[in-house]
This record gives sequence, C-alpha cells and structure tokens, in this order.
Amino acid sequence: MSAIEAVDLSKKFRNTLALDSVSFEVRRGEVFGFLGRNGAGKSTTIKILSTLLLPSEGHAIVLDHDTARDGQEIRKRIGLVQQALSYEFSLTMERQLDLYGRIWGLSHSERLAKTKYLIDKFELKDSIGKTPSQMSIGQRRRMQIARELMHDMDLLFLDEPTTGLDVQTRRLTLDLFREKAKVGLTIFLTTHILQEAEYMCDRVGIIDRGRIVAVDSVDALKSKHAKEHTLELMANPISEAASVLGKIDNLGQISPISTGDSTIRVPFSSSDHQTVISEIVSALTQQGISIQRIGMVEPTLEDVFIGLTARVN
Amino acid sequence: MSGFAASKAQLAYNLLSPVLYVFIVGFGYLGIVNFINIGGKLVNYVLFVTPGIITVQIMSVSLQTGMTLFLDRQTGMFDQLLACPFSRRDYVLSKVISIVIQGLASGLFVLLIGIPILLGTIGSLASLWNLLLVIVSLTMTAVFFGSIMLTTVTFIRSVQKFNILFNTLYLPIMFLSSAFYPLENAPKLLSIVALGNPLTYSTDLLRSGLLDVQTSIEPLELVATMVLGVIALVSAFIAFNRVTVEQ
Repeated sequence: MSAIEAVDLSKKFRNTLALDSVSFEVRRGEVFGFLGRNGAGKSTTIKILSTLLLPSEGHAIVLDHDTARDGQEIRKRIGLVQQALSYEFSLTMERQLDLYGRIWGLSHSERLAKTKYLIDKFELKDSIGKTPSQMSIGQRRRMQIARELMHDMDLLFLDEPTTGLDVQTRRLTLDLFREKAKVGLTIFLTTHILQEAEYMCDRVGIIDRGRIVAVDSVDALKSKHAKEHTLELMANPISEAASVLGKIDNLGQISPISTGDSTIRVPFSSSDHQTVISEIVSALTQQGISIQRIGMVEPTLEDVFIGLTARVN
Repeated sequence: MSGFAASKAQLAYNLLSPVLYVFIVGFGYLGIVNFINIGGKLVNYVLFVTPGIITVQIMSVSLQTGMTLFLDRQTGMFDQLLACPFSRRDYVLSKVISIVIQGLASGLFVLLIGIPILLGTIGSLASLWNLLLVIVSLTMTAVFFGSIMLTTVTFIRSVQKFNILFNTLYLPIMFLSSAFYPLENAPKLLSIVALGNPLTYSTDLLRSGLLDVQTSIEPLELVATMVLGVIALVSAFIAFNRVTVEQ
C-alpha cells in the first residue's frame, strides 16, 4: 500500500518550473530518501505533499487523501520538520513543546510526559527556561525536531532535519527516526548528507532540475548506475604516479581524494579488475614509483548521485 | 497569544503608555483647553480624551497582535502552523480572537484606571443603548485594526517595508481622528479627512456611551463601525486564503 503517490506533479513559480511531471510512490512503513542538488525541487515536493502548496499540474495522494482536496485530513496524520528553523520567538523551549502538544490535542499529563521524554532524548536540559534567541542553532534545531515528535503520526516529512547538528546528535536523531520507522512510521527524508541517506533509507529517489532521474533501493541504484569501478592508490611520488596513469588508455579522470593527500582515485570501466591493476602496477614500477597501497573501493550513493546529476546537467 | 503575553517588555509598554497619555495629555491640556461641547453636554478635556485614549490603546494593541502574523512568517512558524491539523480559516479566526481578547483587555485596563476620572458618568452604562455603543466600539476597534494588520502582513515580507508602512500609517490614523480633539473645532480639511478614519467613529461611539451623550450621527457611526469591522475581517480571511508559503 502507498503512503504517498505523486502523479505527474508540476509546480511553476512565475517563470520558473520547479517541478516537472514528477511521479513516484512511497510505500507504507518505509524510509524514503529524496535527494537532489540545491534548488532541485525537494522542498517544493515536500510542501505539496504536506498540503502547504498546491501543484500547478498533476496530483498527489497522501495517506489515501488528495492533497488538493483533503488537506486537513492529511495534516491530522503527518508531521513536518522543515529545512528552515521555526520557533515562537518569545516562548521558552519547554513551552514551545507544550504549545505544540496543545495544538495536537494532547492532555496535560501527556504533554508533561512527552516534554520530559523529548527533553531527555534530545539533551535539551540546558535549554530549559531559554527562548530561541538564547539558544544555539543546534539547540533550536533539536527543539524543532522534538516539538514535531510531541504528537503521533503515520507519515513524517523531514526536510534536511540534521542541518546544524553535531555528529553525535545527528546519529542520535537518525536512530530515533529509525526506531520510529521500525514500528511502522513512514518517513520521507531529504538530505544533502548521502551517508545519512544510505544509513536511513529503504529506497531513494533522485531529483534533478525538477525531474525524477532515479527511484530504487540504494543497492539497486549502485548496481544499476555505478557502472564505473574505482581503484584507490597510495603511491610516492603521487604527482608522477598521476602523470603515468594519465597515459594509460581506458582509465577515467584521475582525482586526488583530498588536496595534499598521497592517495588518488582512478575510475575505469573495464570489469576485468585484475588486468587493470596489473597494468597500473607494471606502469608505475617501470617508472620507479613506489606503491604503498592499491585496492578497489565500493561505489557509494554519492558516486551514484554525482553520476546521475552530472549526466543530466 | 501566549507568545505575546510572554513578552514582558511589550506588556509593560502596553500598560504604561495609556497611563502616560491620560496623565500627560489629559491633565496637561486641561489647563489650556476649555470645556468641550458634545451633543449639548459640556465635558472637560480629561473626560473628553479618556475614551480616545482607550480606542487608541485598543488600536495599538490590535495592530501589534496582528503583527504577530508577520513575526510568524519571519520565524518560520507560519508554514509550520499551516501544516498543523486545522484550516487556514481556523488560523485566522484564532488570530482575530486573540486580537480581540488582547485589545479588549488593554481597553478595559485603561477604562479601569480611568474610573476615577469617569466616576460621575460611569453610571450611564446602565442604559442598554450606551452599553451597546461601548461594546461595539471596543470590539470593532480591535476587529477592524487587527484584521487590517493581518491583511497587510500577508502582502509584505520585508521588515523594512513593514516598518515604513507601520510608522507612516500609525501616527496619522491616531491624530487624524476625533481621539484627541473635537473635529468641530478642527480645520475643515482635517475634519474631512478624520471622517474617513474608522477610529473617529469608534471613538465617538465610546465617548457617547461612556459620557452619556447623544449626537445626530450616532446611529450612522454605529452602522459604519460594524460594517467596516466586518469588511476588514472578510478581507483578512480572503487575503489569508490566498497567501502562499515560502518557496
């Protein structure tokens, strides 16, 4: 059964076509990653699905309701953590949580219990009694996520929810979402941190310039779209090694992993890894270049994403 | 509303400013302004100006409360609240109710501190007609100015534009009305402009109700105040339904 069914969704803002016939499906209980570059149309899609915007064309069914007709029915059953921070400027952190609980009709005792649980869970004790202007960006982000979890829901939209969070809090937050997904919550996640998507998502959709370019599981995307293989090589001197490798046919563009590093990545298309490695080793040793380490690296979702979005561009 | 109440500085300002108006403007001008004739009844300047200060206070608080929608947009709460399980109509309605409650509370506070001044006339509220005038005036002032602010902020997104508009309109609305001086004695142009100002009608109604005076245009002002309040409210609903979230 689908939690979300987007059919030919298009959205035009004046002369800009933000979404162009976007269609995809999100199954109930899955964590669906929606990835794209800045301005690709991720947030616009979320705003249409969460009933904040109407599509210019097409339609979307969310939890069996049409977003254009039954907005209120949908909003009763969804949660939304938006990319931009949002807060009541003059309320303390705990009152913001309480107010949200009230909006969702929680009783006083439920609000107290949930507020306490979420303050503990998101390590917000230091923010008790503080208004947003007295809190760091990370604390405001944690408050925003905690606030959304004050109420129960069937579907949660997360638009870059971990922006501004430190590594520990990011992992803690993702684990909390995973826990909720395990007990049936459907999650629609956008993020620029692709390791986060790999960690969280059952399936991923990639959007570029308002068009869907791929939808599948992470593993399927890797096997379908990461057609090039990558070899990682540590050698000395690295600049000469790069120069030698540049003269070998069938190798892609050689790139250092990071500036000043003695490691380079060499993409190639041949599926005969052993022959390619032998050829590289032979070419380098003939030139007196010492090889410290050589091996294949697994393609990442990032490789797939860059490949797909680069091709479209 | 809880956000507004939590702003202690705002609350203190709203409580203190009308007191200052009553004492500085009211008693300050008492020595230089003669008795004023309203509907055949002579009243001193403090009595004359107190109803004006009450409506100005309600207008001021209602505009500030309506402004919270602008703050909601600035702090991302507008989009967030629209994703909550209620309709846009409910959202506007809650804003208007909040405006009316806060506007009335501030107006009643000024009325409370004005009781010693109005003591001789407060008994006039025993008359149902006078009571009606007072209630319509207090409520519709809040509804009108709060709704106008709600409508305005749906069109404005920049803080600078908002500040310019607010400061440009606030003082003329306050002073181009019958709140601080009788229009009969004002220059012709000024009194004509003031007749187009809804604050004039609601102030005149409150003055009539509190001071137990009748003027010939009282029924007209009553209808005008109610009609303008309803028009402003409907405008707020329409503007709110059309407003879009940030892209």
